[in-house]
Amino acid sequence: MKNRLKDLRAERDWSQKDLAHQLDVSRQSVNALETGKYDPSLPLAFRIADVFAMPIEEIFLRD
Amino acid sequence: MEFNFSSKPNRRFLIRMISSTVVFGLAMAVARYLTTNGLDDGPLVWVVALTPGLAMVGFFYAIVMLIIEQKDEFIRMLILRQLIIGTGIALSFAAIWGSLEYFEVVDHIYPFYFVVAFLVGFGFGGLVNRLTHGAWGEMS
Repeated sequence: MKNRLKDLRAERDWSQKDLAHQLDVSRQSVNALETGKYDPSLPLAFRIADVFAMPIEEIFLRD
Repeated sequence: MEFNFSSKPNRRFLIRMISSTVVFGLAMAVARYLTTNGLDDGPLVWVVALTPGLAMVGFFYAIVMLIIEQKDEFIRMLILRQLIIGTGIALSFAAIWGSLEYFEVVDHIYPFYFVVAFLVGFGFGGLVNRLTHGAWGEMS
């Protein structure tokens, strides 16, 4: 599954560590999400959507 | 390789693994000393002989508790992958060595060496994680 995490994070000038802190996950998790090596669970996807104040479908895209 | 000491589950895992290793080493030394110096019968032999084995069970307890306490779902997935890889390697080693031993091609080894194979496999699983997912797992 594709996602816009890296772009959205860059727009806000956040580091991976900043985003990881807001999501209460490790920096490695953010890196794995951004590089498409890991697809989040639905609860984590909702947390990500809350952090960016956007609907999930505008962050995560179908392949 | 990095170990995230700021993670409470990781710190607890490290403490549990080190504690189990220390208890195992001490229990093994005491058991060997006592059994080679006259202790060869009675309930105390059972206690002395059982303690190193229980200390090794502590390794599995530490890994299971790490999975239970880990809040980061990505890291938890990596640890589970390590667990599967370690188990696969240990059981494969047991199957192959057991077959060779049965037909008297190799010497007998004590089954707790399969625990060592598991721990080696668990560590190897971390390397596989690093290569495929960019993070080690329990070391992240």
